[in-house]
Amino acid sequence: MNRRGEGGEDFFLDNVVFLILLVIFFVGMLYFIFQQQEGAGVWEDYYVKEIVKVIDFSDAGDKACMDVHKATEIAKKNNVASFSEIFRIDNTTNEVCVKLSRGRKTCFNYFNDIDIVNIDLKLGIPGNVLCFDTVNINRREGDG
Amino acid sequence: MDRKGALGWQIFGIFELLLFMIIVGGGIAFGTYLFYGKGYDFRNAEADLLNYKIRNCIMENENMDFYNEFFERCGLDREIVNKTNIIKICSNSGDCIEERKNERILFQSGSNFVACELPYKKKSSAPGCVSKSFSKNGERFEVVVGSRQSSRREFG
Repeated sequence: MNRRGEGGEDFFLDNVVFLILLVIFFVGMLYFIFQQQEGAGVWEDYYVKEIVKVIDFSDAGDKACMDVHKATEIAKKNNVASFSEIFRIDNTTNEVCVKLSRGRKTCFNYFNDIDIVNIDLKLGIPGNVLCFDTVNINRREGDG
Repeated sequence: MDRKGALGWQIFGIFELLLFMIIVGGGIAFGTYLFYGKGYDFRNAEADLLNYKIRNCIMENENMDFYNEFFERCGLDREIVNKTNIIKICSNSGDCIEERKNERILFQSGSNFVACELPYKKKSSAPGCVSKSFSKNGERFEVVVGSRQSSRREFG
């Protein structure tokens, strides 16, 4: 019986489950660690709530500007594709989202019944500043 | 090759590897949590802000039909408030949170206001609440607002 070479494929088949589990584990841990780069998750949480605080406190016709220089620095270090991706405000769902790392974002709802328009990230004012206007809500079709 | 017993050793090896991954992965996650902390607890701040808006709204509006006009007159999004907040407005009540008499409850959205009275340490899943009272035209109003919204991490 020629046993040469038989051990090789046995070794691979015997250990394929371990290899798959190890790969899944390392991919998961790398993903988790990259999300924590520069404390992106913590700063996303902070900025989204601060923006919501300003929106909730506003009345229609107000204009607000906020210093977001730290957020833009973190987003740049984490290779977020463009500054326009960092801050998203959705008037249909009353939601603010902040993205400071690739792949994930943090979102929070505001209770004020107003629309946010003219959202503008101004660079080097000095520092980077997020400005927006608040207006009376445009009634959606079907609303009373 | 004698394969008897080999399957048993493989299964044992998988459990060993899983245990290793849980210990290492759990340690990294726990260390990250210890370093960065739990995050910014916004519930009390949001409840305080909403309470302020409601009090201003009541002060500025006369003869408001609370159950039909409250959200429109006070400029609040009904869907978001019903989803993330609890509100109770009482008139001439000794304790609005415990109040059961319908004639003294002007408006209520949500339930389980007793959770507002839990000690702070136990309030991790309870709403953050603010209760404030004021007088208008000889009538004493009490506004209790709770917020249970926490931020959501999403893909995208």
